[in-house]
Amino acid sequence: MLQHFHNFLRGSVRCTVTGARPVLFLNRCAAEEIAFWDLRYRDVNCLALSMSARDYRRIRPVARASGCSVRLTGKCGALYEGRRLLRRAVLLMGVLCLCGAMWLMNAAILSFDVTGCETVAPAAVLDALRAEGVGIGTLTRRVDASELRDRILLAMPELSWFTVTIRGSHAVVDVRERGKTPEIPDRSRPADIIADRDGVIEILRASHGEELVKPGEAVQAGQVLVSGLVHLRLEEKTMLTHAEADIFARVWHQSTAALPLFGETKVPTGRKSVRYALSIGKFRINFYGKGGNPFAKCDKIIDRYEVALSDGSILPVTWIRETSIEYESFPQMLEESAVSGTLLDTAHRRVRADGRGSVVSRLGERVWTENGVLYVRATGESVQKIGVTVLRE
Amino acid sequence: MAKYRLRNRLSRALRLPADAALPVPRLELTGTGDLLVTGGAELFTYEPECIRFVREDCLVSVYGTDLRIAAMDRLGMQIYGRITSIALEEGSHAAAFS
Repeated sequence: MLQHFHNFLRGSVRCTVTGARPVLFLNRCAAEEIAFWDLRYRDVNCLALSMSARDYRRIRPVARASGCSVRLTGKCGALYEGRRLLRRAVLLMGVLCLCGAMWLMNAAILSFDVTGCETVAPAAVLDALRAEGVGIGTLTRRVDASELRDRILLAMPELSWFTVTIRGSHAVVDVRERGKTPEIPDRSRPADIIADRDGVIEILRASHGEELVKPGEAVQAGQVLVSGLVHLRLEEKTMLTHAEADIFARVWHQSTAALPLFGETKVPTGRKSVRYALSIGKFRINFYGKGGNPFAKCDKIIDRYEVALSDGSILPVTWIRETSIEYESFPQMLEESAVSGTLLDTAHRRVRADGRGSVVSRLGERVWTENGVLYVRATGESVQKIGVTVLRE
Repeated sequence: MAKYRLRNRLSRALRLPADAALPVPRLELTGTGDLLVTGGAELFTYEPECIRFVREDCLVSVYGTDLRIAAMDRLGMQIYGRITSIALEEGSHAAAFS
């Protein structure tokens, strides 16, 4: 096997020897240190054999001296195969592309994975990396992880930890966000507590300051609930303090949703257009002529097929299929009963969101139509904290 | 012949390998299909049924079917095929072939 491989590498020829006594030729070859193999008997005067291409150049004098003639019948080996393949430009291009792709797969970053993000968007981290010159296609040897960490932490103060690990062509960016430091009120400065929304006071427990309202009273947004100016009745003096209190009030939430009853309906015409594109990193190759929508009115469905590796990382190669489905629009009157339920759900969802996490009970809902527009109003109530601390000037 | 005997006795006395001291081919037969010949023999006849080679006054005839020389160089040759018998001839008769 090894010998075959060696012969293939150095190149060999197949030839026939014809003469009165071919064995004389074989003996002379052995004497001249011309090795041959795979000797085949054809007839008394003819033999076929293989020898190396280098030895074949020395064969003519030997053949002449032994009274034989040598005829070349075949060539094989890396040398000849290589010369033959050199004429195949497409194959060569393919080999070059393969070599380039193999080099790129090992030398450049082709995919990113950002882990550890909680409130910071991974896209923001990637943008910061891009601003530092690190993105898809960046050579891995140009990435200095420690220097990059320092630069990113300076650029993104919301991060407390940043590290990038490059495995082959895949970069794993691990971040930790800086915890939010709670605001520590400056208790040495006098402050009032005011209502941040309208409501009826349910509970009021003031530990510092003077209560200006009592449970059961209705208050308006901006009204002072607990004052930092305290009247000392016994000494008939006043003093300033930093008011502190837990104030809960019954508040109301209201949300209105509207929808025009004269809408449009879409009817597909049956015509559709499918276009393909290939996205490689920052580059996009469109396999269609001009851009833009193929129809004046159409729905576009974009399917993206990404190349994922076994470890879950995604290569920056995406096959994109865009399907445009043409439609025509016609005016249509919407039925009030059909859409009012959806609008009510929307309104109640907004009311619940306004409750800031507290339990919101439904108070009522109202549906009416005005100038061709359907209105829905939902009302709810909840008990929640309404006091905010405002420093006195 | 006297020179041959002298070299033979000398190689035995000095415990030298015979193929190193004497101008004779060394044959290594593996089973019935592989014969390795070393010692620089000269090919005399090459046919599928018989391959003859000679060195000095030692003629070796290899008989069989489908015999072929797999490789050959200055130091020896490799013979493949179905070997049925090997005949050795010495002396003037063999020298006549060479």
